[in-house]
Amino acid sequence: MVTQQFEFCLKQSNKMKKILLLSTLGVCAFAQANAQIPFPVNITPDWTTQTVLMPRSPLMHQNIFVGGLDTVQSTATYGNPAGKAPAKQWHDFIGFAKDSAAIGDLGWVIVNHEMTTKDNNLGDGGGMTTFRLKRTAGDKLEVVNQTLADGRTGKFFNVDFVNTVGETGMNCGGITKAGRIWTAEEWMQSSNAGIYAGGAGYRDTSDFVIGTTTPAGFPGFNGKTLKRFQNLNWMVEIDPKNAKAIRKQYNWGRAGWEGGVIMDDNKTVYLFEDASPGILGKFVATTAGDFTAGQMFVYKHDGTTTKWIAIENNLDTLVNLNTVAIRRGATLFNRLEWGAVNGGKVYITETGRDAFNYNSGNALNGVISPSLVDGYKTRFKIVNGIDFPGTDANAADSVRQGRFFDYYGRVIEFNPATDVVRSFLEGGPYTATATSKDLPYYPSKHFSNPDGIDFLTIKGKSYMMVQEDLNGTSYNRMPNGLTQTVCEMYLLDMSITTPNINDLQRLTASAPGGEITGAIQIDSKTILVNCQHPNTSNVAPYNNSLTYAISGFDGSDKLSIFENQEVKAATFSVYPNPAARELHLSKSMDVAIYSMTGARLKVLRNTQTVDVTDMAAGTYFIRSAEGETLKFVVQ
Amino acid sequence: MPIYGNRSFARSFGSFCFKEIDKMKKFTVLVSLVLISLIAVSAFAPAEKQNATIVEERQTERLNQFLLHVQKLKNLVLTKAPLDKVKDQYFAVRIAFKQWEYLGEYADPTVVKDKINGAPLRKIERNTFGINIVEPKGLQALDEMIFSGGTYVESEVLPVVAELQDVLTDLKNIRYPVYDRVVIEASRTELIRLFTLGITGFDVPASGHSIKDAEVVMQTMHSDLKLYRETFSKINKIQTQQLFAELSACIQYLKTQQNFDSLDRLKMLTEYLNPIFKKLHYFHKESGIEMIQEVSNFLPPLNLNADNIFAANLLDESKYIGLPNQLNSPQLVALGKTLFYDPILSSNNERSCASCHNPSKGFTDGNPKSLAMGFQGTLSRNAPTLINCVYSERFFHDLRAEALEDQIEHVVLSEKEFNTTIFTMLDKLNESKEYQQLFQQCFKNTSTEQAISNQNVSFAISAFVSSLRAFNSPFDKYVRSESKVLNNDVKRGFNLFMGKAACGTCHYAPLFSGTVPPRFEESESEVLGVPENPYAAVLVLDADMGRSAARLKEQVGFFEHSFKTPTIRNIALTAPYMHNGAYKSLEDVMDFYNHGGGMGIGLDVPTQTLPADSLHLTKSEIKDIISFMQSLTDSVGLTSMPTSLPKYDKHPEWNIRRIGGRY
Repeated sequence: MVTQQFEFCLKQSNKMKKILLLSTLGVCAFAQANAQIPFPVNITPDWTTQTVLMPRSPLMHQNIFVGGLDTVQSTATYGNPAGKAPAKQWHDFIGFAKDSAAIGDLGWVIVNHEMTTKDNNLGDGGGMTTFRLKRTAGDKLEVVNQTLADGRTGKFFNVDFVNTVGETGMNCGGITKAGRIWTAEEWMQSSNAGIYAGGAGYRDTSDFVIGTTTPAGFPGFNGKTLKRFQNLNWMVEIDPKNAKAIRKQYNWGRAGWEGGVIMDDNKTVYLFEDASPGILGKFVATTAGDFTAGQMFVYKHDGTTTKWIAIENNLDTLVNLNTVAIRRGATLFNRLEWGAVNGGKVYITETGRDAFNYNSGNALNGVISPSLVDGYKTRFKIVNGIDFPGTDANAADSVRQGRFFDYYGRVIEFNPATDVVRSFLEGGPYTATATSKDLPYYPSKHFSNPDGIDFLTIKGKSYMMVQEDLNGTSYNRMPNGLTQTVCEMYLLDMSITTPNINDLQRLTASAPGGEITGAIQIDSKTILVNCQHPNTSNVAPYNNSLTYAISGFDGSDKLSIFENQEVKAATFSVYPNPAARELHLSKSMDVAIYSMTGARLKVLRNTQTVDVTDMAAGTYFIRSAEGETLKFVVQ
Repeated sequence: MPIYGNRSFARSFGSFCFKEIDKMKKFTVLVSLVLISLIAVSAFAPAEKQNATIVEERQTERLNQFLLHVQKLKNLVLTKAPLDKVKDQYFAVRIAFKQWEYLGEYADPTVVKDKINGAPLRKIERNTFGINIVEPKGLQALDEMIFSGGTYVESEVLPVVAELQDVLTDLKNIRYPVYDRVVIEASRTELIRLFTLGITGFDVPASGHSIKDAEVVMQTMHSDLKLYRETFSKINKIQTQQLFAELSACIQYLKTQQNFDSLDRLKMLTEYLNPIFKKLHYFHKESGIEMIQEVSNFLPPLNLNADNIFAANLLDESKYIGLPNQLNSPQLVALGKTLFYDPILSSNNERSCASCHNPSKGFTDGNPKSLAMGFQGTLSRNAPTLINCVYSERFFHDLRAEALEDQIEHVVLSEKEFNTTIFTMLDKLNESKEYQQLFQQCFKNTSTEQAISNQNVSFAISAFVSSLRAFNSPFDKYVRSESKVLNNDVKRGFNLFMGKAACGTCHYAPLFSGTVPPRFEESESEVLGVPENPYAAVLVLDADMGRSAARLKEQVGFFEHSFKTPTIRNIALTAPYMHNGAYKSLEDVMDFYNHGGGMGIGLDVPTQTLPADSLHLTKSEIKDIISFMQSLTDSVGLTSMPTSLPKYDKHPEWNIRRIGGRY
């Protein structure tokens, strides 16, 4: 029934479009004709034109920790003595524990390695690296030499999982709460043969008995036996200052956890599963700060008396949480990633998936998330030109049957006060809200497959930092013709109540192939960011995973850091944005960039921004299709 | 500064100019006014400004037609129409697709590969949690479903057609703008695609529709390029006439060809495709139309500044390695060469890279499997050639490493190879003053200890290995018109390789490797079903699990026994053959393929990707193919060894180590 409706609408809208085709052709042709005016290969620059200044960025970038290159100190592992090894790669979550014992000290930074590899010194699987940061003159950051309680000395330390809680792996997101850190072991493992990976993965596939390692296990579960692969995919608390894991959080359940948040009460934990279908978990501790005892729940938005399915504290149940939860009717999400709290609400990234259906097996027991219904209805309207004609239940059916190609994903908002989930910001080069008629300024504005998320405060103003991890390059997630992904981090001013992607401001971008992730504000000046798994064929240092700092958010121009200074020509204006290293144009247009001697360097069509990050300091000319030229100086 | 680049900037490639229905209505009112101004503007605008607009409108209509034909096909399947009707409509779909292909696939190659015309094989979903298998979809899957037997299964075909319809419906709402630059660059890219994937039969695994496909593609490009005839004529009248004569002649030639096996691919390449490829480049440059390097920071390996499909600069080797261009220098290549031949890298100072990659054997060792450290047996696989190996997305027979720089570490750490650790290796290098100086010269802005780093050793070796490039074989020279001589058996062999014998559908020209054209960004592996010992009385499948055992994220059944598709270039130097070196001669290798691989010789290979049926090649045809492969030999200028190795003052015993290693 729903399928027929869908097709009916399609036909109707095609008809409507045909009727309008002739009239719009004229408009398009006009716009296009403009877009095709050639730019001369050489010009004689007009020296009397106005000058646009592109000042140095008020933000300072500094590379802090490079995977594969920096050396980490290891503990005695697998019979090998304590020593050193090149750091693992695939930097993901960044945790931070303040520690200002000495002047300039900022605290401990801990980085997840979202990988599994065999390593004689660092332990098989994934892992984490911890180091202490200090601020020196000129706001530069420095990794400080340390000696740990276990005697290890150096700058970077491997967090010992092997000898404490059993191996870890695919460490994706995590939780930072008041100096405590949890890491998420995402990427669900399903067999010992799988983790052994023909000898390339985990060497130890013997059963794991909880409580036989130091520190001792977990209250209530000690002595219980897990198959080795089942000791993966938990949240794990670690001690960043001693570079050791503390405990696997068995009572929060085993699932493809990607991230989580702990609320202000220091009791309530929300957990996000990267699976399709994935679940939203909640744990409520009995005592604030003690997460070893409490009650676990899973979200079911259509629950009548409560929207939370209680999960018994039983290892057999907890070890297969996703299956159990969905069997009991949980809400189905399409790959939840990270979350962060702002204004009492939880913002969670739902990264999306190019094709999926929940129309078979256990998924039939679950209910489709309202966020996917929102996303589907928004897309329907764009594709068909009319509102989705059915009920939300009809839309949910279409999602379930696989009619929704969710290639852009979204940020969703969960309100703990009402237990309501909704789509907050739809990704894509599409319009962001069903009611908005404003089209995004593609290619300047685009946003797909959000993954990392956190909040940044600049002078009391709150910005969402949302980070992409593109699932592909198709459907304009990358510009036409490109198959390498470039992921970006955007800022969103949280005072905007119904944002769309036009409101996003680009802050930084990853090297090709890399995912941008882990962004965390460590103080008023600095955020730390990871560029994960960039192409190994990128030019160094962007051929390795990389943790870098962006500092300067507290500069004298802190409020205007993302504001632009306009310079007007007769037919267009230019607004330099030093923070983003972009020239913004007053309209979408064709421009060419010329060197000081008048040689054409770049031609940009139908654009609103000109990136200057790769342009050497110097004088250039920017010319419109009409031939009007402005001089601009990159400082 | 880690802002590597800006996708917004790169996105200026494309743009989005989407009209909502309501907006359209408003525009309708204004339309007559706009049209008047449009006419006024046109009068002053240069002629070519309209061309891209016309092409974009055509392309929109091509997508409409493509979708329409898919809908028709769906209706036929829904009504359980007879097979011949379904086949006819499938061909109508193909023609519509091929009209859309050159611009459509240029703009969004991933959507074509994922959803429209990817190989009919199962894949692993990209960038996701866990391992998720994606079933074959799109036209090639349909091709096999409709043409493999005497019937089709409605329940199998329908979901594939329905999804294709949904995909195309979504695509209609995404604007892929067309500029003059795009028309020319997409056409030139399509010439490579047509030559490597089109007329080889790659994308019609069962229906054999490739000659008609090629004709449709050439006609489409011809009709779009005709819009530029006046512009080109102003630049060079004679070349313009030649270009359009070649386009017409190519279409005419394809029209006369009915038989897949007898199509003369060498004639296609040398008389039509290469000359057209070259002239379009000439006109692009001379017209002042912007070129790709002016619009994007992210240049692909395919270098459209090359003017021949077999040009040595068709692919930019620097795009495959992480070495910054400013660090690459003749000194660095020389340092890399020294390291390559220096056994000091290994734990016993007796083994170097050259131990298994001997320059006189095309950088292989002539053994079925390479000799292990301490003569303790062998490594698990055959040493591959290093010549032109840089043009790969991934390395090793099982594709476990991602770049040359990564590959080196595996050899250093392997107990059967260098059997050492990174830090031991670096410490040893650091003990030589001469090495310190050499590294310091190449990495000027770093301290001595920092200069000899893991990464810099990798950079030096990959600088050397990536310099092992050779495209001056007799065959290359002939197809670039630098030589007029090519034996007839070689010519026949090339046509068989690219046609009847289907070698070219995996060993893609011009690298003749598994690096996939026309973008050359991906390395492929195949399941051939190679036996452990083909000369044994009882044949058994080689036990090596290949790709499925190499990476946690690729542990799937269809990658079991799957191995990287190597280059055919220099094959005359690199016996024995296959990942396990089990085949002693090219004749034996050809016999294996001619039988249909492992399944063809009676082995149970459930995931074999090579068709199990015979190629029906005659003895003389096999001889011709071997002659062609032997014409791809070129290692000129690459084989010299260093005359000395850096000295160690404190370890005189190390100074007698042999260049290239003792074994």
